[in-house]
Amino acid sequence: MTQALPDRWLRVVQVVVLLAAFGCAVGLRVVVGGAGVTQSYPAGLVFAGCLLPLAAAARTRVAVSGRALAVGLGGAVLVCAPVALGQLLTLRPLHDTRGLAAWVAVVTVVATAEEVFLRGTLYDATARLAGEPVAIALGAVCFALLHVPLYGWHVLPLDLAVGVVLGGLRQATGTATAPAVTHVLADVAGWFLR
Amino acid sequence: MVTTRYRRWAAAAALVGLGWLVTPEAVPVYDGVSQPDEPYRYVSPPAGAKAVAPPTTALARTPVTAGESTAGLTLSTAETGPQFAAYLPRFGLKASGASVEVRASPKAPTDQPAGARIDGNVYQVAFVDPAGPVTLTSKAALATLYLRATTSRQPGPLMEHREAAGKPWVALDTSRGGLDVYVSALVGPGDYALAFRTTSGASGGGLPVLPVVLAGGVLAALGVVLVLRRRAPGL
Repeated sequence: MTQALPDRWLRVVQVVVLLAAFGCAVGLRVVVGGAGVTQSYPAGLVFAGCLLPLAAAARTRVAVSGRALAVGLGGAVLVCAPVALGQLLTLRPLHDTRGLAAWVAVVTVVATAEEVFLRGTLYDATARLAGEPVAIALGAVCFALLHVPLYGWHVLPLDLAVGVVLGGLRQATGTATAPAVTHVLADVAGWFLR
Repeated sequence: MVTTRYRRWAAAAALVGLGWLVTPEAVPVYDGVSQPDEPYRYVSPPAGAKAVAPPTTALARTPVTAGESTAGLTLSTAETGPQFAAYLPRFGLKASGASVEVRASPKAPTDQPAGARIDGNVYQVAFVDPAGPVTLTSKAALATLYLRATTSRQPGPLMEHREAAGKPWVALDTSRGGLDVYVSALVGPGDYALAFRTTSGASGGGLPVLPVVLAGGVLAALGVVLVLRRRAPGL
């Protein structure tokens, strides 16, 4: 009992520190990006540059498996379905590919960093402290809140829902690979579906 | 086992669908580096503006039963991203016909609000029912209107509204709904526009110390995580 208590407190401290660092990283991104933060590549890369060292410091393991990749692909189809449906119903033309390569490169780094941190590092720390449902919920809340400074409060319901789904993919596969694949593919699809 | 898996996927699909339904406008999916908007489409382009397609009109229709609109309604123009978008809740309109057409047409600004300059187009919102007048109900208090500015510069513009051409412009409570998108209540038919104050102070330079403090926060957290990892390898 006397041994367990310090361990538990260390876990609490770790989750709190990770949340504080995440808040700082979001703030840094907003400050670096300024008024153009949503379209700022440097701001996105600075954000990723904050999250990945934290994940490395916490020794986050991201196992890659065929199943995780397949589940990630399925997740991408699922989260893109409403947008694709809207595109079909309104017969909007697909966006052209000018500037796509650089955008995909940056988005891949940023989305992967977000997933490795939220569904890897923070998920692991929270799950050890309070269980996987809480880890899913906390990751979803962080995911939704991180988008508020970029797009406004109106994105909260959708990003909260998608955050829960991404957490569910992590729980189902045991690795952040699946949500990372979903997130990256959804972002790439988002280039065309807009 | 298989049904459990299907149930999980169905639950996830329902969750995403629900999130999509309650999100009043399309948002960049689902990450932080959004695609740039197309250049603003002016009715009357300023000198030197690049030639682009003309702005579009937003149009939607809602059915009316027992004198009230029975479906929520969203409408937006077709630009990427939309220069005008609006949401009207269910039972938000009172009318005598079978349906109401809601239309938002872009037009060039002809006169300016006091102490402000209109940014982009004016959008004329009309509720059309051939059978008679259309009024807003108390449910319409939740009606929301989004306009895209031509620039993301800060301080941002305010939403202005007037009931008809020739009447005075009135500034509405405005919040920022995105990089260059501003949100306000849809208070009724009439003209809506974004306008920057012309009596602005000097542009603030921001706090240069803030990035350093935030970066320090991340580094401090990194250090704490490393220390915790050494003290408790199981963490």
